[in-house]
Amino acid sequence: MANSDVGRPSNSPLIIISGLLLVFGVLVVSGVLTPMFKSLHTHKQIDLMEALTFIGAGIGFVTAVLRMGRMNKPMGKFDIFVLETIPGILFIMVLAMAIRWFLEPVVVIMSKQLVPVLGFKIHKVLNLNYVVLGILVGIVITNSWGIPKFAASGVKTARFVLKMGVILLGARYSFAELAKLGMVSVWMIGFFVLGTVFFVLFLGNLFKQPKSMTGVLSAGMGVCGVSATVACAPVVRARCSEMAYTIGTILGFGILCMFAFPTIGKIVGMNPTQFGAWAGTGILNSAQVAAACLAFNAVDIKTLKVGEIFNITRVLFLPVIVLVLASWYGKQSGQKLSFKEVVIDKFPIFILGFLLLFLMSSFGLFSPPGHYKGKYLDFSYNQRTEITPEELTVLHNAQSAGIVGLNAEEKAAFDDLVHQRQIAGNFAERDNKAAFDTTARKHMAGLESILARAKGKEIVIASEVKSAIKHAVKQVHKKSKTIVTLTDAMIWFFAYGLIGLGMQITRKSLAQAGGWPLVMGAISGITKATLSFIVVMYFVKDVVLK
Amino acid sequence: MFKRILLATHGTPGARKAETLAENWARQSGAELAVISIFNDDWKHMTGDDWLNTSTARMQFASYVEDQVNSEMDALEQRLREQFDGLELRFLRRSGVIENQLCKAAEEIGADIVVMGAYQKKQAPGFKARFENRQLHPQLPCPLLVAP
Repeated sequence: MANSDVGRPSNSPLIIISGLLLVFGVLVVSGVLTPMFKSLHTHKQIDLMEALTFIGAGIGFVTAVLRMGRMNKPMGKFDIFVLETIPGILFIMVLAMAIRWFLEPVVVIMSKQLVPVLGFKIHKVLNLNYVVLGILVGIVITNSWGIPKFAASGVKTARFVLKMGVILLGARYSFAELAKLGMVSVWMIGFFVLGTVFFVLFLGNLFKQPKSMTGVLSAGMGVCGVSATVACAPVVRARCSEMAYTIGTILGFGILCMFAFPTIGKIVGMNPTQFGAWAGTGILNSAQVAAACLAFNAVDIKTLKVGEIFNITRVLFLPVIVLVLASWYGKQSGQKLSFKEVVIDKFPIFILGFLLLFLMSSFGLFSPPGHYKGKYLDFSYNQRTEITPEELTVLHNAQSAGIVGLNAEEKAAFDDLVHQRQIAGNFAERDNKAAFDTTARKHMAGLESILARAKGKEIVIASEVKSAIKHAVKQVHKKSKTIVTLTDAMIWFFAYGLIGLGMQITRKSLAQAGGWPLVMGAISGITKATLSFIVVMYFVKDVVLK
Repeated sequence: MFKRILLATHGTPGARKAETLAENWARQSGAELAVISIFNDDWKHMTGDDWLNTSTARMQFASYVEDQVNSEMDALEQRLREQFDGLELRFLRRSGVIENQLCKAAEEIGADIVVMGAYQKKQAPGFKARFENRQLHPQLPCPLLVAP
């Protein structure tokens, strides 16, 4: 059914964005920008840049033409759900591309140049990678100029896209991993979710605060931040001021945690499992868990996999907590709510999608039998195929010091690894896949030869160097091409979703923090983060993940 | 002196001073007193970074907030009806950006003056919302009185 005629935002911003994408795409193809990309170390992404910019520009122009034909006509479902959302989707896409290919490398370069002044790399301390920068850019836009009118409908897709990211992540787990992580997460999350909920209820009793307020705060601090507050507020009949104070407190606490957790995790030397477990337990908002995990390690997604399992376990507790609070509050107020209102309406349906992808992957739907032992070699340029920045420093130092005993092939392979940060062919040959792969295989053979000779004690290399080379070799072994594609899509979905989510965090909503919810929220949040830190450091061991 | 006074209040301590002042002036001049309550547009940002809930859960939350704000406005209206007994009264409810809605309402009813409470150093309990003078002043269709 068509809605009433609502004025559509102007077509000009969409045409400008599409035009910019087209011009950028043409410049990339022409090679004019290649030297700049090399200096930013984003030249490996050139093929992706070409694809995304031309596809984006094409969709943008087609949408602009269709919108032009529909101007001043009543809006139907196709207009609302497709034509009016595309400008916003392209807007976030452009931001995501600008952040990944320009802002992040520029921040890294500037951070390194500031070392003589500051004495440390600020991007390392604040974990300023594309994920955190994306959230920050979203927050800055919404609190300065505001979300542009033409993009408002499209920005709302961020929540959906973020859920798609989690669903795609399901393809990256095996039964064994889920069993190992699931057991730990159920115990930890069960303890900390219920513990925090009851702790906040206890604090409310201690400080003689209204039950509606402690109810809504306990859900927010115990389960999953603002999402739990939104789900529980109607159930415990929270008052306006209570909801506002609680949401403001939780938003502020979540943002602080997002920055503090990865830095603390790195300082104390947590492994990916420990950090994922800690972030998945201690950080309130599920999207911020993903951001912190990717901030801790954006090169491979091991930390994210652990964090999200804890996260999903916690999200599954949401209907349970809503049920507990509904019974607790209903008993006192005489209010009766249906099972549908309390549990079914609050169930996060996207988790079923996550489980479906997990099952499809586990039954081998994405790993063709032609791949050797379910794996194939992926030499394509990709951040997830690279070694970590820490490993790069180790290799760089070893290269400067010189490794005695390497033959010509081994040395060439080692030097190329330091140069390209991953096992790959020559950049100039990237359009000739056969030649590119042949060179890459030579480089891999050279590195495997170094490892074999080091094992046979023919040459001596430091254990950190050995570990970095092993990681480089492991990084190009992928489960299947489909899974690589799904993972790439997932990373972009997270980047996109988190920019959009950043745009939902306003200064005015943060300013609502205050009153007793701030006091009780700070006590319970810090207690949960500290206790989960201790438990993780002492009891959670590293889990081998593929 | 005045035919129609527009009083902006949410019942906070600062706004109560404006209520008293507007009441006195309305009684002295025999003016109609219109009371406006605005459902702040900023509530739409209060789902913050929630992304887990289904649209049903978010809609439930939005309609619950609306009910709560309305019941708070009902209580305010009830109190003011008793306090302003004998005056010619009109109650207005609007939702949106405070500055815009206030000026729009003043224009619609042909208010001679808008009365509101003064900026309080310590904010009253409740949803924290402060309008910006630079947004309000250029739109005002009539004088604005701030009750000290």
